[in-house]
Amino acid sequence: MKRITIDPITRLEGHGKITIFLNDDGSVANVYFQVPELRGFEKFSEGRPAEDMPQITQRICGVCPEAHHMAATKALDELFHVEPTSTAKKLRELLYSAFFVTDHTTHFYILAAPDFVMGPDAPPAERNILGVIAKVGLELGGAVINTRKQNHWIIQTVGGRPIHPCFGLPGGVSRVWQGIA
Amino acid sequence: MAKLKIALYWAASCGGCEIATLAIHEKILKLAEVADIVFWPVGLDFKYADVERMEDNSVDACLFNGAIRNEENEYMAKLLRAKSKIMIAYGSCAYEGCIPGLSNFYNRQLTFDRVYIETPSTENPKKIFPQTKVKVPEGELDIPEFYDTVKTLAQTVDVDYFVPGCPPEERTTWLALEALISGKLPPKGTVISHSVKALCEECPRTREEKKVKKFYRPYEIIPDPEKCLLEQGLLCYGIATRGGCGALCPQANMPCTGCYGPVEGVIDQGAHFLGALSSIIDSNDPEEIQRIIDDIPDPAGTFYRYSLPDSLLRRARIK
Amino acid sequence: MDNFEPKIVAFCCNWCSYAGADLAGTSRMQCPSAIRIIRVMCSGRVSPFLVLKALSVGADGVLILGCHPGDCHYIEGNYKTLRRIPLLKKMLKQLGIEEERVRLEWVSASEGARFTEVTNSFTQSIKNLGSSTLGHLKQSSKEVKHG
Repeated sequence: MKRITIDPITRLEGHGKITIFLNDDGSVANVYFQVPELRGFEKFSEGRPAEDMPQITQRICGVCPEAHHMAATKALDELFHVEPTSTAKKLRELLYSAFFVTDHTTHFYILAAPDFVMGPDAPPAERNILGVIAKVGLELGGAVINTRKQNHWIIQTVGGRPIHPCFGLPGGVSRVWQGIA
Repeated sequence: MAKLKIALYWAASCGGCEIATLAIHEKILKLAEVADIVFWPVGLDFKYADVERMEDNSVDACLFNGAIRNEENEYMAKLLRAKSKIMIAYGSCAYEGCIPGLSNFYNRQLTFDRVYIETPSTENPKKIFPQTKVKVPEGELDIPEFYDTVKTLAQTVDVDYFVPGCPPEERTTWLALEALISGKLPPKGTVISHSVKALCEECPRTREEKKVKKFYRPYEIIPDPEKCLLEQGLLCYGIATRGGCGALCPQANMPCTGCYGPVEGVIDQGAHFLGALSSIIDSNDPEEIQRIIDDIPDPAGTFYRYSLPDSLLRRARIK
Repeated sequence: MDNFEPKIVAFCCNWCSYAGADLAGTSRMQCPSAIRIIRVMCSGRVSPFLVLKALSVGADGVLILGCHPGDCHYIEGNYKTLRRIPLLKKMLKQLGIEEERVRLEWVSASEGARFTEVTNSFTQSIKNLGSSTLGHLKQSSKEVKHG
């Protein structure tokens, strides 16, 4: 049976492998998707202080750390039976909004757009953000970069760092709004 | 002049180092002018087979992030080492093991038991674990072997440079890329950062005298925004961490967690921090000392948060 | 297990405990051959790094011997040790190394008998604990059987 292996799958976060088995007539007999990665957060978080969880679990993903950070911070709110202050809620929402604008920009233009703009039959060397910019125009590249840069600034100003923020605490956040200099 | 060929790869990684590379923002256009990216799974469709086809030493530099957790990570580290003139351990995972390194408190059996059987949302009554080889009707499938112990990149292949941070901040990333682009590379083995000293040098907080009678967990106090966090009893790792990040966490009122790795010349970052903390404990009475130490909930996990695989003991011993 | 001959590193401070060890020797007191003495100027010099290094290269036990509190040749050195060792032991326990494998004791220059007693009792307790390298970095079999 003929076998095609796609290894690794690309333009996403994570590791994956696809194996396609073909019949003699060329039709697909079966396809298998495998995930050849595991780090073990479920186990090695055991024994760590609860307040470390926002910073540890956010290392599950560096593209969406804010999502994990917020989930863990909200779990801390429940664990400590505290209600975040109104200011803290707004700061958390501000960080989260900046996060998903950055994340959606990254995903759409860098990870997904090559399939739509270049098409799945385009040569691999062109099926990427550089190919997209070459086709659509340099201003697009500039717009993607600027959007991400500005939102990274918000995330850093509110959350402490642009990637893997550190501000989540039970009942609130660690820093007040810094203002625009 | 021919463009540089650069490869980027992620082993047991979170992808944060990919985002950190993009965090140079408009400078990526400068990079694109002088370099071709020949392999970068997050953004380009080149496959492992494309790397296998490359000539040895045809890649000018490989920025390798992620720890060595399994057989595939090890295979790619060795493959990319062979194909690249320069191998850079980019980010804390490749440099010291980082957060995935915390898995060295446990082993494969304990990890698999938890992940595939014990977790509350897992339904696996037959207690099936992933196997390296499995037969399916059409043929055989394989996945990489999951090692008991997480290793660093330098414990696996010869590494030329280290870029610290989880992930490296923009200025640190650009320092490394600029060195590559200009060809003005530091001596082999250099940890590329703006600083060789402890983070305290960069931290804007005022430091007076370090004498601590009690350690606090971050939610227990609202720290004074101007004073040193360690002096206020928070377990701020800045005293034993290389600078270069701009002391972002202390400025967010959170103690440094140590992600930039050890200060220049220090072999075991956790041992170094342990010694530093001990020396500021303000007591000579054994009972009082014990009470102060009792306030540190997780010494090994805090001191080796990012550096367990790179420590002297490398892992916890499990009977 | 009966044939287990432990390897023990004993950091002895120059002014008190090393002199005490000397006295034990000249007095012909029996000291276990398991003990390898490393002389340091002060017990305060014994950083966590040194203890971990000894353990990582195969020491089954580490003994740190210093001057009695108040008698340190450098005034405060042994107090630093006093603060360091309990925290180190707490950390070692988390790393699967029994707290009993590291011991801090005060032995003065005139205490040859005490030096003998401490080294003998520590060696015996390490013999009871067994080799420290049990299971460490042992290669697992390639296949993990189903749970």
